[in-house]
Amino acid sequence: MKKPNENIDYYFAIARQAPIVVSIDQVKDMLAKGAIGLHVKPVKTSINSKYIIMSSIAVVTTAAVVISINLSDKEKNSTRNSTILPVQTKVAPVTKKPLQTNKNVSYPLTNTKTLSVDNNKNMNITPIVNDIKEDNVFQQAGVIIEKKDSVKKLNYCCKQNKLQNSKLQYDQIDIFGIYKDIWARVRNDNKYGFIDTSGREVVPVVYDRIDLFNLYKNDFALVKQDGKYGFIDITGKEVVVPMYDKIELYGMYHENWALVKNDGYYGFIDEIGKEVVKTIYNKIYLFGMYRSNWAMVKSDKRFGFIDISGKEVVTPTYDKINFFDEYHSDWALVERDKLLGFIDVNGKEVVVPQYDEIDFYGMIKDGWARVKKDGQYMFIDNIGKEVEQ
Amino acid sequence: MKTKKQIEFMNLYEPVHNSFVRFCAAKSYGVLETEDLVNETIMNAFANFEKLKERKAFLSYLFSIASNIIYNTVRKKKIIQYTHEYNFQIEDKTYLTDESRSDIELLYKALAKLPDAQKEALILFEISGFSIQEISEIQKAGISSVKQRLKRGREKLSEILGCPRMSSENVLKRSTVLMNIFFL
Repeated sequence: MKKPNENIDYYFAIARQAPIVVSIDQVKDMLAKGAIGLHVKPVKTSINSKYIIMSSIAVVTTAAVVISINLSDKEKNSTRNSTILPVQTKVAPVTKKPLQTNKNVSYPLTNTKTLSVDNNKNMNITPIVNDIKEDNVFQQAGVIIEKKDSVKKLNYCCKQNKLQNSKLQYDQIDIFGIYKDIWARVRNDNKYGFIDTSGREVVPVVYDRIDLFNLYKNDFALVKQDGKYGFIDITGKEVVVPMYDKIELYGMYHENWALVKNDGYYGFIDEIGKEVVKTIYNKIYLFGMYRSNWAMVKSDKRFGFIDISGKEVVTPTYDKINFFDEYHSDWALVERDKLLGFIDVNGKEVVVPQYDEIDFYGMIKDGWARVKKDGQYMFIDNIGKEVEQ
Repeated sequence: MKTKKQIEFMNLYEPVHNSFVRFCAAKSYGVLETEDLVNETIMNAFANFEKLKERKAFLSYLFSIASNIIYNTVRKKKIIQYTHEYNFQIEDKTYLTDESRSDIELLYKALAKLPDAQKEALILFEISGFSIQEISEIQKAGISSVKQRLKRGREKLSEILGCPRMSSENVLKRSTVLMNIFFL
């Protein structure tokens, strides 16, 4: 044997001699267990059995019920113990506004429950109540109930800014700082938005879902509206209108782009949210599989390429594209309507698909490849031109 | 008790077990553990075994599942050019000497830099010991394509590993010898 590092066969020989890490008995054992629904892994065993999953769900549900009962008990106790203070402010009757039916006007929110506050009085606390019901606003208004920090905070900011009307318009206000330091997520009628510390609605409450910032990309948060996805940026601006069925992570396919899907077709958006590759392709493969800056695309069962700037360098007209350099350096074999040809690394069709068969270059004569056309064999030269014999 | 399906599956699987595990070891390097890949592939292959109409296509069926698992894991983990950036170590379970282990790691790292088709062809031919005919069935490619992949793969691998460049004749000669063994 040659000295190590002088021949790659040395490395292959070592790899061939390495012991087998999974024995055939382990496989037999695994299959035997697999037949009864057990999925066996060497280190930890996870069980796929339907019954066991059902029972686990039952256990989890029971635990959740017990916890929620305990919590609600705790809540009741805390409410019972809370001090009832005399009303210090004048509370005007609740003005009911009719529900707006125009869907386009979603902000400001309808059905606003307003507590008018007499500004001349020195107010310590503006009573704000969670889960307020229109019927019992009067009752609740005079009672101070333990509130979430966020509501207290909102209350505090409102007071600081001398807001005369404290609007009780949200079903839920999250704690400040989860999404952004000065923002808190708010919910109303199962729609989400953001308010800032001054109580101003910086992102309208129109989204079904808002993900955390920076998950997909720095300063972007994924939002979902009517089943479609988009992005808002850190200033609250909608940078990508929710119109996509799916958005992949940035950097997965392209360094600065994210793959998007719309009505079953794929495309790319760039880092400012602009659609750089239109959603017209049935499939987009990874960049670098065929050429370093190219990605294969499929449209109507035909293949082509786009480059790293999003330009279509090879129009999807081919049924099949082989790897480059297999037959000829810098060329790739292509097939269209069962006829073979070549494209080069610039995307140019150097040999129009017209041959039934093409052999490798150099198999019979250097620089020539044997081709078959209309049942007859002939040769093409190095630049793809038919050689006259 | 063994079912008919298990017996039939094992009849096809057992002869290629060693080759398959070696393939998984080389292919899974830097992506997931060999045992996980082997288990996952076998469970998938066994679960969908009824769908395999032609028993001849078992090799292609088995290896495609393994390749798909790797492809999906890479996609999910967002590892595109991964292996040469990280220093994965082969598990101690292989009972290799330190020297051999580091040589195998070198080989696996170098293989990871090759295009997928070339890498797969090389692993199947050189490490798993399959014939070119079998590889062409697994890869669903022509025999000449497989030969080209082997040739170019070996050339690139020699460059990466810093071995003297292999002459193309060498591979063609090897291929011819093997072709004679298998087909004549």
